[in-house]
Amino acid sequence: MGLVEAEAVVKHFPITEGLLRRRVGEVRAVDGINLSIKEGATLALVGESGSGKTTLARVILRLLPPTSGRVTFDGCEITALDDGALRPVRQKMQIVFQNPASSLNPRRRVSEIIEEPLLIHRVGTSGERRRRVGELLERVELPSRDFMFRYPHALSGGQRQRVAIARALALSPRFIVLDEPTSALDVSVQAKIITLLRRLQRDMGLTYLVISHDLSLVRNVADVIAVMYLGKVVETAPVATLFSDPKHPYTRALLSTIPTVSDEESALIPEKIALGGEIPSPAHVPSGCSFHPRCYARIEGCDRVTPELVPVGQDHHARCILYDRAFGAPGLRGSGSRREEERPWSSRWALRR
Amino acid sequence: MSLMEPLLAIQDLGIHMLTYEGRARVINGVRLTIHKGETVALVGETGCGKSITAKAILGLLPPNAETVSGSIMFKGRDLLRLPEEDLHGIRGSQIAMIFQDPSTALNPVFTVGEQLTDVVLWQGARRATRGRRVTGAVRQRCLEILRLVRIPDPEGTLGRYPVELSGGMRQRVLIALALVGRPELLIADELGTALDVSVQDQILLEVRELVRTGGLSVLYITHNLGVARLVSDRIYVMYGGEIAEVAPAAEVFRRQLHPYSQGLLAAVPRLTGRMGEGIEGRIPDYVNPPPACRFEPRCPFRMEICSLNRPLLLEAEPGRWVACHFHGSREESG
Repeated sequence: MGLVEAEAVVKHFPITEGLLRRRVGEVRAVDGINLSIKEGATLALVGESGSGKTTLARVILRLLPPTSGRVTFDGCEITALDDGALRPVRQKMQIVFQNPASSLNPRRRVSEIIEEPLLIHRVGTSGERRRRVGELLERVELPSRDFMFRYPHALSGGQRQRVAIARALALSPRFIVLDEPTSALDVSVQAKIITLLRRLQRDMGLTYLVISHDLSLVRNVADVIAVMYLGKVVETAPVATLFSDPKHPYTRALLSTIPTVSDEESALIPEKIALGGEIPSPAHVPSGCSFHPRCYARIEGCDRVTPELVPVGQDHHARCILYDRAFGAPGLRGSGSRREEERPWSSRWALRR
Repeated sequence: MSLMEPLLAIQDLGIHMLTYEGRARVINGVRLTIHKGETVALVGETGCGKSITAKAILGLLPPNAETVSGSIMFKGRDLLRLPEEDLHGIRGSQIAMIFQDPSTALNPVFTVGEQLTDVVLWQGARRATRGRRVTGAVRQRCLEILRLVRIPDPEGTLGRYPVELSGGMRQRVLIALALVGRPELLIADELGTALDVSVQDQILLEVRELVRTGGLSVLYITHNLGVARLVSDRIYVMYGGEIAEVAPAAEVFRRQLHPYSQGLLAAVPRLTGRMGEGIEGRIPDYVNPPPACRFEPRCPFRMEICSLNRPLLLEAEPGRWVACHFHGSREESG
């Protein structure tokens, strides 16, 4: 049982029209997701914009109520709690947003920004809180004397993100959502922030949910990866497995487009698969497998049947008719026969291309 | 490189910005050449002066910028000394720019067709001899260019507003706007980096194809080293308003000569599961930059000479240039 569990989580946003707010459709942002994050581990959600990564993270933190489904945190079902009962749980779950330039209040000093969660949850006396702020600044490697009384505009991008991390750590959480934590930063700064996040995780036993579109980064920070497409998880596996043996056609295509910086890496990614078109709007999800209009491995039936997430290896699941035994796929024969098992399908792919 | 005259040659470019803190020396002796049909990438981190260099080429510097030295030769003419009206004739029709953010670079209140037509007509007006503005021919040209950048349903797209298009389509329209004047040099500022990887990849490959078939020369401005490796022939690494290293793209990713390039490459997360620790310190203060080598305060290999003499950009190996004392370069005093 993981620290954080999502069961059949669905989040639909209604599309309304006219004066009476008549419901004319819905945006299926998150469409039936099961996830489990082990304590002390890092799960990464990857996918293109519009795939529902951020919405899912918000539902998990209950910043948004789900349309249906359950989220449990440390065995406690938080989707069933009212606001008052949620308060103590909220202390244990925090989020660091993408762009520190907009997530920090420009009119508050660094010390006030970091103190705010403590004030909201009425933790400690003012002296204790001040000591705690100093301690947190040390933790994120900002000398507290220099930075305590500055305003965000007087900080560099990397320093601002450190302040945002310090604020997230203020209430000693166990679980932190990192929503594109470094995408607004330069690579040399990104590397320093990632090093810090890793150290914090090791020292404090934190559990992370990382949202990112940068697959090379995810390769370095995650233990488990879930690839999302149009509100559904299409493949999930331990990080090494996903990169060495991607199963779902979408994952393969995504990996093949990673811009690499060395020949060594280029050898690790699949041969270039150019994906046509763009991710459709979640308001108009295609029938059957939602990836089928862009899929290069499409076969008869993909536009009609909706595949389930089926096991394709050790802790490895994919949502594709090619692996779904219910539709006549060979499934798994044994651990050693992975290559053989793949052959009939890959030859079919070759024909399609 | 060939002995042919380069299409674009920037020599000793120096630009100062007048700020409240004082005179910021943001571009300091930049040198860059682009040959015909060549794709060059200018890489570096935020604030290193990449975009300012691009803007200087097009004469689009902000009013507080002051060009203090150098020349930008384009087909035998110095763009820095050209009167504004002559620059008008060059912008768009000889040198075009694809701007960074596809969601803000298009005008939201005009349709794609209106924006494209504007450019076509304006260029027709510049080449005044064409005279009559045949709307049918203009429309044909617009459709042709939309097809070239692979926009599905070009007729329909002409009548759409930018908000009705996806990010990838908007980016394609921006490329169309840049290409419609048949430029010889294309400047692409962070092309595709605002898009998802699968769309970015499509766009980059398409532009590469257009470049190959059209004999275009391209200057890519990017902070993404993977993108630079994918698209370019030669790479200029920029740091603190100066060129740190110049090398063929294939070589610089195998071995970097400048300590900054080494640090930068080491910080990139790798698919092999390795990731460096980043570079200590931060970019120089341009009002009071380090007196000699601008990377010296952050450099792990710094020597005494590094804070005394500014290293010159010198050829360390055939085709590879580096501005670093570590490579035994001759130095310039002061």
